Amino acid sequence: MKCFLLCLGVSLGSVVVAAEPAKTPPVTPAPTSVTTPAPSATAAAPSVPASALPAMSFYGSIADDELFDLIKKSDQFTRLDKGLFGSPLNLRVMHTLQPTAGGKATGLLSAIFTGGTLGLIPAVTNNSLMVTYEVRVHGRELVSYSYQRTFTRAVNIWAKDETHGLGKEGLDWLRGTAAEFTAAAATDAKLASLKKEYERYFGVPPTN
Amino acid sequence: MAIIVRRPDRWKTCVLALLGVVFLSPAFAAKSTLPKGLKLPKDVKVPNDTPVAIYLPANDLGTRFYVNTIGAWAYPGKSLDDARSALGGQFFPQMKPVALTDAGAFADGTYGLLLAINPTWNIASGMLTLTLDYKVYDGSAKKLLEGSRMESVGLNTSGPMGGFPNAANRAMQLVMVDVLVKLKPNAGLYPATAQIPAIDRELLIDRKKAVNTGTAFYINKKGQMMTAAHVLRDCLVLEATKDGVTLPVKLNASSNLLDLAVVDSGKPTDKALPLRIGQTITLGEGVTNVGYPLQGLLADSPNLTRGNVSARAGMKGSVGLFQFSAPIQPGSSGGPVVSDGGELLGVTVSSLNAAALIKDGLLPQNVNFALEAKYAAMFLRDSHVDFSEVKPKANGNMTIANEAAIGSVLQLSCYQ
Repeated sequence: MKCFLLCLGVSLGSVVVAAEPAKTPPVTPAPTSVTTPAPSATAAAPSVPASALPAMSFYGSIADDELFDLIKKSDQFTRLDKGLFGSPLNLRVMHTLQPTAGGKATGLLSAIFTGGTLGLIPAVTNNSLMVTYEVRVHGRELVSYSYQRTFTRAVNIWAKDETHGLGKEGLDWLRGTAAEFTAAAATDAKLASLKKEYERYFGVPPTN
Repeated sequence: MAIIVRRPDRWKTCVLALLGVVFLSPAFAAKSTLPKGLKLPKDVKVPNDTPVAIYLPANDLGTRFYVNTIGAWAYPGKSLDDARSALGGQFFPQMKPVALTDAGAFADGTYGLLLAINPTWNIASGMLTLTLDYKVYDGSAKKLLEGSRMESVGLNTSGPMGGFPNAANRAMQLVMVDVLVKLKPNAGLYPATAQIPAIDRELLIDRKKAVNTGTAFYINKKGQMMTAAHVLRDCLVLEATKDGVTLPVKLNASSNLLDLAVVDSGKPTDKALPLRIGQTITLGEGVTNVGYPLQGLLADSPNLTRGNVSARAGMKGSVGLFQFSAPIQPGSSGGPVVSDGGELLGVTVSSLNAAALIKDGLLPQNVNFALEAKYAAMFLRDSHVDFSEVKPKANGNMTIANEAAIGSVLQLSCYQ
């Protein structure tokens, strides 16, 4: 029935859950001698808040480093870790960036001007950005929060873009959604129930 | 000097307001966006007041995938869902979705017409084709209409993978227009007297092919079986088959976190697998795995593989899993991992994705994972499901393991 999937060569989740590919860890030579520093009062491992959710892996389709750092600062997601390939819990940040209906016409005209002037005139775009935060358990969505906004920006085609194609305003807004999501997650009943079930079966994870 | 004060042209305002009302009305929206060559008869009311319940399989609504070549996500499932909502609002404002709740029952609601749609996507030569096979029933489950509508669009219309919403919208329009033209429905003809939770699931499912197949095994003499929860996701109809005999089964308990579920056949058996007392596992001990993999490719007989417990943990970050080397395939999920003493050691849940690792130059061999029986025991106690425990057999062997495993397993099929 899903012939197109085969055509594209992508998987939508087969009966057997496919795990993420394991990365070969870098080989670190063992030290020949070790000097143990004196214990310091300030060197204690940071404690994990009791409200923290169990460890979960992270995937971001855009600005993943920035969003990962912002989300991990919140009490709930202190245990977020990009390397937990086998975790049953996963936080996914997905995005779609598409031109608005008006943006398509404007963008085409603007692209003609920009191209005609060899990039002296910046291209004007009008895009709708939607970002979705999902917590998935064994690949199944448990909670999902979406945020959407439309941006107009002038793009100098010769300038280096460090905003993931969003512009400064768009990137700032995207970062802001991380705070909105973590605030919402803090009061989410389904996440609280997940934490309770996890601790029932696998115990309370260490808090330091 | 005369001062002329121009009054605002009120008539223009009125005309604009009137045009606004006309153009923004659902009736205009529904009729003006009809595909070329389609017209609604004058005696068909749009928006239509018929209380319609619409069903689309959950697997199709959840479909999405990442396309590496263009670096973007495609959302065929969301496109279908959006088309259902948007066009439902235009053509049948009282339309309600038929959807399962977390408890596995249909959400409350009433209907007069039931529209069951089975979508199929296909991509070829840059063209995207959506076929919607549909059936329409009245409140007494009498089939009124059956048909199929197809729409082909360019895959990249309106941006990367933008063809999905276009195809979904147009094909869904064609189906709804079919219903309007051929049945000329209204709320008087089809009043909302039927209950959505009471819908016969056989009317909705596609019997031609199960959306998921997996393996289950008897866990007690009452005929209750254990399996992996992901085998049973969003199933409308569940069946267990053994030796050519098919039993309807019902979901009894499920944990998505453990990826574990119990289904009930209601038919007593003497082939239940016991757990080992204390649920201990010895690294390196021999195991037997039995399942029903690759349905449609292999014959419908259980596949038995042998291996050993190769690690006490799964991948980094996993919890509750151990690694075993007996080969498994898609369809083995939910099968038992059995010791040489014939005791349940774990439930098969996953495997390393060999295809993904080959791209990285790695070829994993027989790296498979099972949930430890101690979590299964906790889950069964929490769910008030009976099971038995036995002392580990010191003189167990392959024959005992194979007989216990093969006797207890059944093939599970999930239909939507």
